[in-house]
Formats: sequence, C-alpha cells, structure tokens
Amino acid sequence: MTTRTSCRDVERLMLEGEDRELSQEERRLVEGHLHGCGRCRGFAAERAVIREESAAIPWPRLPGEVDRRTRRAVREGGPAARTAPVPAWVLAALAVVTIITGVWLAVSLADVGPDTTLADLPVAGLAAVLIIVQNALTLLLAPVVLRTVRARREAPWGA
Amino acid sequence: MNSFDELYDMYRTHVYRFACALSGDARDAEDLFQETWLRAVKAAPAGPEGRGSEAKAWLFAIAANAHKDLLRKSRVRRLFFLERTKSMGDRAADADPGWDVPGEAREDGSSRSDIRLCLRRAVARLPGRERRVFVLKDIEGFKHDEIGRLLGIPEATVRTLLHRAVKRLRRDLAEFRPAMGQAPAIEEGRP
Repeated sequence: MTTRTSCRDVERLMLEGEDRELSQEERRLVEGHLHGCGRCRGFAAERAVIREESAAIPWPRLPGEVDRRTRRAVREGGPAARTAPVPAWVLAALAVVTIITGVWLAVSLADVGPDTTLADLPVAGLAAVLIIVQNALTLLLAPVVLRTVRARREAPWGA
Repeated sequence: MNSFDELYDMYRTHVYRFACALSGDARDAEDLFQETWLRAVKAAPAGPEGRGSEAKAWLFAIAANAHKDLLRKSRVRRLFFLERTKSMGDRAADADPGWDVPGEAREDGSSRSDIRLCLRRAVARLPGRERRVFVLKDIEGFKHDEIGRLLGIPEATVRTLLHRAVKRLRRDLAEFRPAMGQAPAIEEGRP
C-alpha cells in the first residue's frame, strides 16, 4: 500500500518538477524511488517522450477561407451578425394561430356565466381541450425545433 | 485597423492550433475557432485590457470555455437525435482528422511520426477536462498555475487532471513502448 502511494506521489512530483524546481528533499525522494522502481522509471521515460512528441505534433495551417470569414464576422460585430431574424412566415403563422385561437375562445366562452359548467358548453370544452393540447405540443416541440434551427445555423461555414 | 484586428492577426494561428488540438477534427476546429473569436469580440469589442501573454491567456480561456460548451451541445444534439454524424470527439478519434498538414507526409516515416499520429488521436480521446489541461500544458506550454487561472480551477486539480491524462496517454501509446525505449512489461492500472 505504501509503495502504491509512493509511486503516485513520485509521479506527481515528477510532473510538478516540470513546472518548478523541486526542493533538495523532493529530488532525493524522487531519485531514491526511481532507483528501485522500474515502473516509475518507465513513467519518467514515457512522460519525456510524450512531452517531446506533443510539442512536435504538426498542426494544420488556418485555412484562408476560414480566416477571411472569421475576420469579416468579427468586423461586422460578431454575435449580432450571427443572429438571424425569425423568418417572416413563422411570424405570420404565429399571428394567424393567435388570432384564430382568440376568436375561437371569445365565441366559445361568450355564453359562460357564473353557474355554467364545462359540461353544459361542449364548444367551450372543446376550446379548453384545444388550448391544453396546443400548449402541451408547444412545450414539447418548441425546444426540439429551436435546437434543430440552431444546429443548422451553427453548422461550420461553407458546410 | 483597430485593436481587435491587431489581436486577431497576432493570435489567430495560436488559437487555431489550440482549436485543432482540442477538437482533433478540422470541422470542429473551424467551428471552435470561429466561436472563440465571436465570443471574444462580444466580451470586449475594443479588445482585452491586457496585452501579450495576458491577451493570449484571455483568448485561450474563451476557447476552452467554448470547447466545453460545444461538447455539451454535441451531447444534447445526440440526445435529441439532431446530429446524424459522429459527435465531437468521436470524429476526432478517427484515423483522418480531415486536414492536411504540410510536411506531415515528409516525416521520417519511422516510429516517431507514428507516435505523433497516435498521440494526436489519443489526445482527442481524452475526457474534455483532461484534454484541455494536457493541451494547455504540453502543447501550448502554460504552467500549472496559469492553467488553473485560465480554466478557473485549483492548481491541485490541474495536477490531478494532468496526471490522469498522462496515465491514459501511456496506456494508449503502449504499443510504442519498445520504440520509446521502454521494456514492454511496465505494469499499468495501478494508482
């Protein structure tokens, strides 16, 4: 158990040693441990290779088209330029649905009095059911529709 | 030319390399690169207050947060079956990241280039937090305390995440142990 803890501590000390100079005591602890632990010697050797090779990984150049588009978007004000307006047909459809619902409710509920129950008014009952279904559908589907639109809009440029 | 243009010219290649290293995929890297700059200009239209390394750290912090958000978004899209293609990270682990690196094909063709290729894929498979810490440390050369400030996490957590990342990478690079000058019998999986 002591050996396990010691191995982990030594590995972490080796990682810390990449960032700051270890104290004399810490260095002695690491060197002493490495002398008798092949596993930690393996860690040290492989860590060195990983560091060296990570720094040498070749990365692609920024594509010219991406560069131009990003620069343009940044100059045009960034997020504001990305906020596309809601399509006119969506606004028109919403307005029509709202007006129809309003008229429907006004007509259906015109005869409702203090003593009226829903059972007495089948049209009002239908209106209530319609409203409930409409709200349920909106709550369920709106997030999905919004995410679909955003996912399309956020697709990489030129894709 | 305003200060943001200057900032863009100065750090666009750094940010793009960071985006490539984090995403491991050309398409996601472009997305992350774009998102980083748009967030940067939104956060400080006149440019950041600091200059030099401070500005670079500021941009990298934005990129790291954007990467976190893109990973989260990717998970949500998969949850709602809105993304037919593979998610960020899955694509990254594929053999072809979708980019051409000048000079990569002219590598020595030996185990070194194989190790780098395998390492790049292994980095792309790391969990998000470990990946961000590893890339900032080993590829971008930040120090532990700088990474902590940049990601908003304690320095001890940075060391823990880096340690985990290195252990995972060692497992993924196990096949190269002879080439790395190691005996193949190094026991893994112990804490």
